[in-house]
Amino acid sequence: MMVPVAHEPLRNPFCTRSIRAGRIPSLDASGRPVNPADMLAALERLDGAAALVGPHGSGKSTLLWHIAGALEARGQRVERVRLHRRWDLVSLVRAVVRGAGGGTVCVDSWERLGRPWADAVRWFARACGARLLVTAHGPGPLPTLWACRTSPALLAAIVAQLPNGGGLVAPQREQQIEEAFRRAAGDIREALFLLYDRFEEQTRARRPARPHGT
Amino acid sequence: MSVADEGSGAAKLPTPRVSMYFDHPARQYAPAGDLVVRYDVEGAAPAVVRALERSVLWYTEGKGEEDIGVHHFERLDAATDVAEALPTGTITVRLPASPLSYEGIIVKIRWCVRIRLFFVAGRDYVSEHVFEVGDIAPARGTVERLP
Amino acid sequence: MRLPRFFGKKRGHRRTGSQAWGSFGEAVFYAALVAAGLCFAGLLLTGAVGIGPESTSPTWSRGWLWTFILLIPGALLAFGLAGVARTIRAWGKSEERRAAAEGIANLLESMGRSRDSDRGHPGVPACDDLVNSPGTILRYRLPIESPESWALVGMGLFAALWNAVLVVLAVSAGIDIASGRVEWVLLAVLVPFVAVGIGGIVLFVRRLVLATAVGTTQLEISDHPLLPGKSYDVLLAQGGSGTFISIALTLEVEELASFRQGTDTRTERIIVWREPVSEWTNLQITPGVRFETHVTVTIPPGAMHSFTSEHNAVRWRIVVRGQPDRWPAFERAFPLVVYPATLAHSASVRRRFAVDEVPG
Repeated sequence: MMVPVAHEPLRNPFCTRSIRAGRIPSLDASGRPVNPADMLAALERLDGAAALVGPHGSGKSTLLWHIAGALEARGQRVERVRLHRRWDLVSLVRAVVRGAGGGTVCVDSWERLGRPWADAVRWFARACGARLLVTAHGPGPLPTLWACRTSPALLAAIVAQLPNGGGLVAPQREQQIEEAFRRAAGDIREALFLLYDRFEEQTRARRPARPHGT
Repeated sequence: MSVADEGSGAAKLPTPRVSMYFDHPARQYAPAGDLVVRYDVEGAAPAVVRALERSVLWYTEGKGEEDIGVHHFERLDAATDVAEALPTGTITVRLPASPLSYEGIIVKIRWCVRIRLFFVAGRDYVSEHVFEVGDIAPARGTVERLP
Repeated sequence: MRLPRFFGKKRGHRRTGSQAWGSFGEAVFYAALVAAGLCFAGLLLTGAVGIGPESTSPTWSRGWLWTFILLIPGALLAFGLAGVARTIRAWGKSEERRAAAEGIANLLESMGRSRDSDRGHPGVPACDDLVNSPGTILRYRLPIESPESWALVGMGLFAALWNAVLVVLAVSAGIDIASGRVEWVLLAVLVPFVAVGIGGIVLFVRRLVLATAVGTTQLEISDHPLLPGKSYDVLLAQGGSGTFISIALTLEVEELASFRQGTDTRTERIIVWREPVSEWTNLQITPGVRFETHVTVTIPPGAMHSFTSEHNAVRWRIVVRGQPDRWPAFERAFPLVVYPATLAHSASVRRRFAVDEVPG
């Protein structure tokens, strides 16, 4: 017997699947959408090499992938690289080669390269004719395209766009968001993880316990 | 009935709709048991589909990076195979003994059937339908956070 | 034949256009490396660059130089060929297809896959390391998950290295003073160095004494891996001397999730289930005679099995927590591997899914 049952697991709206870069919109500190067209125009003015700067969890990676998506939507070639280890330098060089002749190489965690390698890659990208857009914690040799800042309004705007509005309802909604923002000291990612924990606690409290389960 | 469809595509092209019919009530399967699922695809004629991928896999969900384990995968490239597999097809597979579906606190394991359509126009479309393997009790809550 | 599109579109996490031109560029890059390697090797072998075997350099230096120089084209060839192969394998493939083909091998490798997984338990960590030590009374002796000993080694290394540097500086300062020169800057630097050095030694010795005075904890178990719904005999043996206010044994399940994004890497560990197994109070342990006791550990029938993937894990462990009379409390964990209950193992699973026969 074939059973056409509508079956969707109860998902925590704050799980990494929902909040990772590329899945949530890129917003400014007041919660308004960042216009990628402005960013792209500014990138052109900065000679095709620039940095998005900001502290942990301020939305640098989200903005980076957002701009990358906007470039792709315009039909441009985009290469995305995340630097975790030294060995990722190979991936970066590969990306620059793939982006040669007008492509854009988007690099997350640029600082992990170290200054000499960063300078070398920057020179190589320029020689190949590839644009370079990176994220960093603070201003460096690359000109700053955008400084990411956070606020409770930004967190509220992000939560509103998660599945089911993050499961938060008025009137406690604003208070819960303010509290998460404060406890995370302005780190949006950390605040979203705190809201993840809160969602789990509330879900478990409503679920009937089973006798032997873990 | 179509569940958890994720459509994407260029303007002017219709978004397909995939319905999935599982052979077990509540989509719950025994570990190492057999899964039989029938799918119906609306809005994607075989002529506009370049290839079709059918897979049965598990993935993790929660606070960590998403890990994926593919248990069954088949790709249909030939035009005759695609025509046979659309608009209706059946996937029959013997499930493994693990990992079992799990509703933890920061780690959850979900099993799903995915249908991925590659269109002649270049775009692709994926539809995901969750089912359960095993009958593991959900975690009750956090006892202690470790440093 | 349809040529790949030069431009593509993307929405969300799905790629909607062809990246074939990018892959083509990548393949050209690696092919160029292969070509460079071949050219370089050819020049070397034909002696065109003057370092070949017929060179006039002494034999010993020629041999070493020859081998060393050959590494360069060798590396170019290896890197280029691997890159070409990887590019071809990944060309235009979906997430599932990559995972099903090459990625799954890496994933399973990261799971510590071994013969256990080969026997049909994907995602369940191997327990080879947990069953390679026979017990004295029960079947297996469980290895200890021991951050304690690593902290001890780390602290010892730090103290040794720091004080070695300190000795060099002190000797240098002493020589200066003996020759009538007093380097005040060096002496000023030495003061905080000495303080840190002494502190390192004190911490190391304290931890060493703690590790040895409390005594070792050993656990043996009647079988491994474990199965939900089954009970196992466990032997606890605690060495040391003196009075223990309490020793408690608990069974725990831990979830571990690692998240990596941008510059941030975080790993979270939480205990999601803890079951006290037994507790003993006011124990008097005499040197040379271990405290030994048997307990029964039961894995609940509906329990989650052990699970490991690249960034996520569900782990089982037995934890021994002790409170000695005159020393700080200690905690020692012993990892376990719990297999999922299959139809063959569990009547309750057969009932739950209304299955009469175990599938072959």
